[in-house]
Amino acid sequence: MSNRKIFIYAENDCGAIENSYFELLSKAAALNVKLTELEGAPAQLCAVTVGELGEDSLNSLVESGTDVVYSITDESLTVYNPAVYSEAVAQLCKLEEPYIFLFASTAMGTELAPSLGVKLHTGVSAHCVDLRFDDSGAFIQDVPAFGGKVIGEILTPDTLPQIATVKPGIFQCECLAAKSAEVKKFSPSLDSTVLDGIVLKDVHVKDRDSLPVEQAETIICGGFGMGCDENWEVLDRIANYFENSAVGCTRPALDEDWTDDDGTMIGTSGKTVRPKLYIGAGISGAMHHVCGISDAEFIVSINKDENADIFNVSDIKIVGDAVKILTAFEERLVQE
Amino acid sequence: MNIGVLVKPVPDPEQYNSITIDPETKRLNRSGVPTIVNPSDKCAVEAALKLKEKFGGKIVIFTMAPPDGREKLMEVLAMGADEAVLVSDREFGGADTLATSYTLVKAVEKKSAESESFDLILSGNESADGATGHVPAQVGEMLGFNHLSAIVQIVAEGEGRPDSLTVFQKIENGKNEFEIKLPAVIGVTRDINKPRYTSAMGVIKAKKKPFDTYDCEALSPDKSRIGIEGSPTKAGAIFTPDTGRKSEELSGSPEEIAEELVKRIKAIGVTINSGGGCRE
Ligand SMILES: Cc1cc2nc3c(=O)[nH]c(=O)nc-3n(C[C@H](O)[C@H](O)[C@H](O)COP(=O)(O)OP(=O)(O)OC[C@H]3O[C@@H](n4cnc5c(N)ncnc54)[C@H](O)[C@@H]3O)c2cc1C
Ligand SMILES: Nc1ncnc2c1ncn2[C@@H]1O[C@H](COP(=O)(O)O)[C@@H](O)[C@H]1O
Repeated sequence: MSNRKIFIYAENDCGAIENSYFELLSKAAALNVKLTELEGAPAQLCAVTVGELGEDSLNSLVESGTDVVYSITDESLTVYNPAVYSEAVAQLCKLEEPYIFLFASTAMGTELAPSLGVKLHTGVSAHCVDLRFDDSGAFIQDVPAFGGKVIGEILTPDTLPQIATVKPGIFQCECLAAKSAEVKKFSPSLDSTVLDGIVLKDVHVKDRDSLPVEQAETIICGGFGMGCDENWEVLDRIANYFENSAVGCTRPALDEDWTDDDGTMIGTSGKTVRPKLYIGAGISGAMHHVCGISDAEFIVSINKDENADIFNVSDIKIVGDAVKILTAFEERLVQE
Repeated sequence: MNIGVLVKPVPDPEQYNSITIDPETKRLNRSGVPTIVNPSDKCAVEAALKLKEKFGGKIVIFTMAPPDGREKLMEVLAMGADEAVLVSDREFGGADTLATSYTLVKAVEKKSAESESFDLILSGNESADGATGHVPAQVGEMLGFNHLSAIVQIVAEGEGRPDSLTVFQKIENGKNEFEIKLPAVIGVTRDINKPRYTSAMGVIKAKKKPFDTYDCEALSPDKSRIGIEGSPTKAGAIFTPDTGRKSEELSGSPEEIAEELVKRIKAIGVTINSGGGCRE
């Protein structure tokens, strides 16, 4: 194994490890295959976690297929505080000098990664949709711009670590061969000036009674072309005919308050989904939305405008009034 | 309460579908796409105006952009901001978020030194074009201010100038409620408010408001930290992702279409539950 270290931030969600860690680890393992080809030896894969973890969670990290688990703990780290967390992680980086550092672009990751970029004077790429090494060994980070219409390659050639955040749901989890990672404890030294600038008062978790869109196998998605509140309900009724289904939305549907669950918005600032079946109605096909569904297996779109952009990215095109088509569809589903 | 707001002119995000890459030059072609004030930055301006209505003080807008950025700054002044600073120089061009943040920080520091210091810097959470969302955190780090991103609500209680603000941050499954001590940098999302429209009176008044332009010389920055040179990330090739699909049209009456659709859905192995109601 080479001296190079690939750090992966393992988000600690109330003592449990966020799924995004496993997505990033799967990608890091794939990167390591190429790195081995290039350098003759793989890099060390290292999970980095901040705050106390339950025993089960720590075990799930230790057995995730990583080589090392850095567990950063301190009494000031029991509650999330971005200033303290980024300082603690920066101290570990100064000591261990990682080559690459991967974060999920979650609320936490998008705060920690750029802060770390300043503390370590290095580059950070955001919301990557792919990561790879080219044949010269350069680490290429594919970053979407203009809502995903354009992808740009980003390189961080001169400074380390090369920090990248990756949108959750982009990489698929693959189980790595289990091995027992070495756990290394790290205690940062934190002075009081960092400690009390920001205080987490409360966490308001939204109870949801429906399946999260990112886990759904069938998504019925509505856009601005659904027209009004009452029309929206047909989406729910149709979703009921499918197992593991969820109703998704575009930004304007949220703005109009046809749904109040912002966790169901799909796209650049929402979720990335990969259902077997996606049925979208009254959606124009703005790249901001489309880039969130590009991994869907089968896309059906209904739009009254036969030239709508959404049709270019659809398997099935239906030109017509969303409500009329969906109502006929619902009536047909009743007969099943 | 003195508030700085970071505002970026961006190509109108409603028209990103018409952006293409020239196959010869490999350059971006965005001709015909108008420039607007970044949507969440307008929300940052609105949030600043609300705080000013409550606590008084002054709002200064900062934009790092080519000279034509002036027009967008005038729009924001017309919304009610008091002063504008256009940070503009060829040498600032090609900056990544680290170099952009550094340059904006130099401008904020210069303005603070010339008049009063800032209690709060507001920014949009992300720009529509690059959308990294890095700038608020990086500006906060470099100023040595407390900073938070993805803020959907700001609560400012009491009468006098507050020492801290209660803010709500959007997270994956809900919201974090933080108390953040001032001075601070806060990045706000579009959920926070609906920005006001500009009035004709606002447009007239805007013309008389202080407007500074800072070039490289004015900021006397560390040259190794600005522009392309000062950017640790470098841009490689650009390409458009291939999202195209076969787009097979189903036609006929709604009933015929529904019949065919059910067939297609079954063909890809998705089961339809009888009677509905089987959703988790
Ligand atoms: C920084 C940024 C981030 C963004 N992130 C996201 C994101 O994550 N997700 C997202 O969705 N959006 C996002 N947006 C917004 C995005 O740019 C588009 O505005 C949005 O996706 C458009 O939604 P829509 O297709 O529902 O509405 P519209 O674009 O208004 O399209 C409505 C469509 O419905 C059709 N229609 C109208 N009436 C009918 C009818 N009766 N029957 C059938 N069809 C009908 C019309 O022909 C039209 O094509 C973002 C924007 C910005 C600036
Ligand atoms: N060139 C700029 N000039 C002024 N503000 C900027 C600039 N770039 C970014 N910002 C601010 O930082 C926010 C986040 O931008 P970004 O990190 O590019 O996604 C934007 O919404 C703006 O408020």
